[in-house]
Amino acid sequence: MLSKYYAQALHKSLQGRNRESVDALFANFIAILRAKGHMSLLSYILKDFARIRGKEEKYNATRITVADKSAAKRYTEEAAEYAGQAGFEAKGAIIEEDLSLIGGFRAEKRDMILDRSFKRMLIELYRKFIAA
Amino acid sequence: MDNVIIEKIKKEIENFSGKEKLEQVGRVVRAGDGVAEVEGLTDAVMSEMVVFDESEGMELQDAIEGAELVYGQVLNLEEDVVKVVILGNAGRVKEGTLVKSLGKVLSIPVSEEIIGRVVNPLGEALDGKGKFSIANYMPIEREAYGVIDRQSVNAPLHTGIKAIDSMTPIGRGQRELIIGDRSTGKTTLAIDAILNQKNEPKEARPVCIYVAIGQKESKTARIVAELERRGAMEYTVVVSAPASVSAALQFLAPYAGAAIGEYFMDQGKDALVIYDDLSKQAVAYRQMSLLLRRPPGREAYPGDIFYLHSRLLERAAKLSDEKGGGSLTALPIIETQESDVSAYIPTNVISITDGQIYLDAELFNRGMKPAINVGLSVSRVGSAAQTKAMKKVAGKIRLELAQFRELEAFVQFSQDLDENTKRRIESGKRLSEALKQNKNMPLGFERQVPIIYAAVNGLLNQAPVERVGEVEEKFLAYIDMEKPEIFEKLKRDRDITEEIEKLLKEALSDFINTHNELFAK
Repeated sequence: MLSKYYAQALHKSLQGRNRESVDALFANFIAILRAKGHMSLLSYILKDFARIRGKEEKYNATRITVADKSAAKRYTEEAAEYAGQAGFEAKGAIIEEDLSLIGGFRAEKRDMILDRSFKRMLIELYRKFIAA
Repeated sequence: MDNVIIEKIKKEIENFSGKEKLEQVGRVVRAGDGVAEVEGLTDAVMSEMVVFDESEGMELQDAIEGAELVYGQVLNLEEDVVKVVILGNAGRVKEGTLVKSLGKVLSIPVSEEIIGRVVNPLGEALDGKGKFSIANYMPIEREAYGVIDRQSVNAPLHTGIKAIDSMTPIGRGQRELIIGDRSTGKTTLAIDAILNQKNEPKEARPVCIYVAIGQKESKTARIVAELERRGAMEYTVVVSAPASVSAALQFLAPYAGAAIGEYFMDQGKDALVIYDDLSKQAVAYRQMSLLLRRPPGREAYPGDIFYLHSRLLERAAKLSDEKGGGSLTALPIIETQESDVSAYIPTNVISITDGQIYLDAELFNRGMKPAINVGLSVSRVGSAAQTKAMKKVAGKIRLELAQFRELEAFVQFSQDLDENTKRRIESGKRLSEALKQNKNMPLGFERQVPIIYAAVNGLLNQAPVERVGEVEEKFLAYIDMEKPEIFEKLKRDRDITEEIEKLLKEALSDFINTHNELFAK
């Protein structure tokens, strides 16, 4: 648990720093661990740190899910166009496939989602019809 | 039939706008005990409504065949996660489920058609009569009207119960607590108040909302059946959050009832809402708060337990004429344990409301029904709204009854009583008897006035105690037959004019002369 707290603190401290200050911060971090007798936690701290970074990278990446891999290019282009409009960075986006979408695409980044899949449209149409 | 459906679908398709819209989402990282921890939803606001989207990864067929949507309400905003209470089947929410923010606070659909229906706190029909049309969505949590938008309580809300309408009158827009131990007639009193609205003229009849919180479904079903049998569902809505539903729904039920009431109040109409009962709501809220890891306080209730009830009851109001003059009267119910009115929740609600009707288990066991303890019951604003007729006849009743109860206790230790004390005790006994009333037998105010007039003016003193009920019944029947104009005039003038008093006196003496057998001791 302590390693997790150290990793989180390190991760937060590193945000928005340049190379030189990062080196200095790491040196300070190691010195503090040594002074507190927590050097044995270092390997766990680094593992937790890597997990936090990985999670954040995944969270920050734009993911575009398309229905059909064979038509991925067409959908990706369309997705990129819409995604760009909606503030997503289509360049370098992770492309995933989900057959259940039927057609169209779904773009996701951080806590925003743009769903242009046929599945969503059909579900909405169904619910509207049922409610009427 | 087929063509109708095809045309309907065609129209839907033509008008369908599949416009892309950016939605704020989160993902469930932990779920259990009706609470979901959600990562994301960074712009979520307190009490915001969210929907759990289970369709991700599902085939279309499965997604549309799934049951109703599962909604949630944001209740904790924390640094990394948002805690959401699940309003529905919590078993369907899994780790990784997509959560979509709906950008609005939790609301309940309302329209005129909700009258006569049994709904859950989300406005979904529970009576199998299908959906009702939706005219508006009312926010479940809403700030109460301010001072400028209100006027003082000035119109009576008759409950049909002699003891209440004469001694602790309730006004439209008032908050009157009904408090007592289990099985002392709290719900009966509230249901009688609903039934009695049938005696009011249609244009002045309030819309009644009965909110059942944490009750047995069989009890709610019995109440609905009784209301239906007596034709009271014509103007009543039942909001049911039985003991079998999640604590979140039980917590929301009174707010949903208030929201429905406000819909009618905002239209300038009168509404009466009964919260049966707020003790169970407090318990549900305590459960939720502990699951949300909020710090527990006294009796493990969270720190904002007072605010839970004050913000609800503050929504009861009599609106100013500029705002349409509508009203929302609240009759919250609190169940005490071992008659302890000084417990945490009872004292909170007593201090919030404009008075309380205290039902005494001891009186109930002695056969005094309704078991209203006159000494502990009070209405702080209702007397301003009491009809003149009732005010004139019932002015002395409270004092006489209180004196009688005191003397009654004293008599247990003393044998030799002076004539005056004996007379007071005999008169008190008859007065108590006159205030007895059977379950589900509310009396219109015009029928209560002659009885209380007779009791106060000594008519009942001439009858044996055990025949007081019979005298009452026959006296009313006599007026019905011989002098029906008394009821008509009382209903119209709402005052005891000289003419009415003369008629009443005549009716009394004629009745005594023609019914000697009732007065033979």
